[in-house]
Amino acid sequence: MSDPRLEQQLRSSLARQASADDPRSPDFGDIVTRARGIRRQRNRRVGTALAAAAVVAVVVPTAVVLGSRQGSHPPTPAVTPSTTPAPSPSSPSSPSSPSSSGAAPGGPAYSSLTAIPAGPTTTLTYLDQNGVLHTGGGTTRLPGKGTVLSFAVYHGGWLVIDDPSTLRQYDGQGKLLTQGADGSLAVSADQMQTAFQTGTTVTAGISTGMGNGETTWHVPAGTSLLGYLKSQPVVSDGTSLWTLTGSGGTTKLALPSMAPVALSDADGLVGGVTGTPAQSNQQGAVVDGSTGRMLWQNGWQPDRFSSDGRYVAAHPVEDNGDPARYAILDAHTGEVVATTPKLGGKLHLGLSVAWDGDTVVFNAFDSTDGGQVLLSLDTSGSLRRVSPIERSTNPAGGDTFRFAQQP
Amino acid sequence: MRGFRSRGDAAADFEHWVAVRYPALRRTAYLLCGGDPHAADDLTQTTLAKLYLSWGKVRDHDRIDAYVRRIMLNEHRSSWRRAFRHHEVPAEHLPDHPAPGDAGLDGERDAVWAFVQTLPPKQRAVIVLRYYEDLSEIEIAAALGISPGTVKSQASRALAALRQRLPEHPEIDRPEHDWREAR
Repeated sequence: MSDPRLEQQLRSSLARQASADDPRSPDFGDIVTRARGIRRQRNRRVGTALAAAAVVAVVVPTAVVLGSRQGSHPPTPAVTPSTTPAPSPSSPSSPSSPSSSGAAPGGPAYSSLTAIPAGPTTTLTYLDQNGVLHTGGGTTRLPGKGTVLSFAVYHGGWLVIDDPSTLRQYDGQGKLLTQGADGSLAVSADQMQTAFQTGTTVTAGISTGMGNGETTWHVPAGTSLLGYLKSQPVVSDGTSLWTLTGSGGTTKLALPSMAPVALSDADGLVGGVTGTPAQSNQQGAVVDGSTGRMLWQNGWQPDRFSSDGRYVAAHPVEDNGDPARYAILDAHTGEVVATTPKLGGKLHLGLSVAWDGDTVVFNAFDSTDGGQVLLSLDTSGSLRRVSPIERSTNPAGGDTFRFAQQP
Repeated sequence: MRGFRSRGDAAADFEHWVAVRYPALRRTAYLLCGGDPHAADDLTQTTLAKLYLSWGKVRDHDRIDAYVRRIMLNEHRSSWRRAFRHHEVPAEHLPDHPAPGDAGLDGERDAVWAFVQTLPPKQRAVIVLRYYEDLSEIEIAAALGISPGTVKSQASRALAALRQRLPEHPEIDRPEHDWREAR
């Protein structure tokens, strides 16, 4: 039975309280700043690209073959731009500033996207803003709706995360099978396992399998799937890591004080950030995931490890939410192998990175006209355009090209 | 600040929409946050930041309000989950009396609002959506990602507790029998 008078009291009280509040005007600068930070966090969490080697092995009912060059990057094209020389190595466990170790002398090397030399089109699988999935030579449509944040092949169909973080599972014909809120994805280094999370449930199964064969864990609220470590899914609450074991149990990893952001399944490494912005003492770091031993710490924040664990893509830690440069570091020592050259004031780099063999791929955009393109940086420091230039429809300049989930 | 600063139509549309809808969003956030203006500011700004990121993809402008509401509720849920992780455990059981200083308008104390402030976050969200936003149980269920039955039970418990909390409140007539028994 309803209680109209009590309900009316609630309505009156809430309306009175709401009207008594005197809010400030919206702060658009703060909105944009927060948007960039959120985008960075999302890209850390839901990851970027699917290493297409495994996808090639997947029997995708849509008959899409997702090409890959994992582990067999082609020779460097003869045309190379003038790039910043690789900075001298930084000492392991001793902080080094990207601005001091990797800054390009003189003016910018490039001031427009078209000035950057064009290389071969990437064979990575990526989604453009029109929903077209580029598969290294072919195109198809990815099922789903809205803004796609991440996706992966699973059981012959797709796992797709859209904004705001709803995960949907589709079969090979695009039929929606399941969906849930607060989704995240992870793929193992050998591409054979895929894990996904909705709410407080993590499920892992064989990427290419069509059967059931799934393991399910219930994880604490507030934890998110971060990746794989030593062939086991790992969740994080932003400060700690838990390995999800095959029996449905969990094991907490002992780490130094560090916010983990990237995992190397192949080499058992954990990349993260130490310190806090408030104390201006943030450092990028990599630790051994088995022992918790700090391997190195410097001014580069790890973004994503290469699939073989040799390298890690990173950006200057002080560029949180808006990277000015990317670098390829030796994952075990923190030594800077290559950095992007200095870009002109109207060119900006995107937030998600993917590995294509030993080459890092990322978005770049020109704020003068909204043009977006994928760029690649290899270990020699060569920067190239590896996709067509498109005009972004996102006023926030978000990454136009979305990579499939990578390890 | 570095970054893409396109001032095209989409950005202008966004700013216009925010200018029109900000007061209403902020008021809902204020209620969801139990009257904490700083938390309400934070919730509103973060909600708008997430809307900003997907603005270019929002095709059906008639549904933006519902879309934004869902973003806000998800963010609100995440914020109290974070609080839970930091051991600021939301009260599972209602205290006997509102906490001192939590309640109140200037001068005259608003006992109903004081009660709403003591509700656990999810239950408070149900109450705010039902009695401030005037959403149906189905709409609330969709917005919060819970079943209509849960919406009904959360609202019922809150009303029952409010009725018991305020037996002496003169303007609230206590019904002759407990409506929970009548369901």
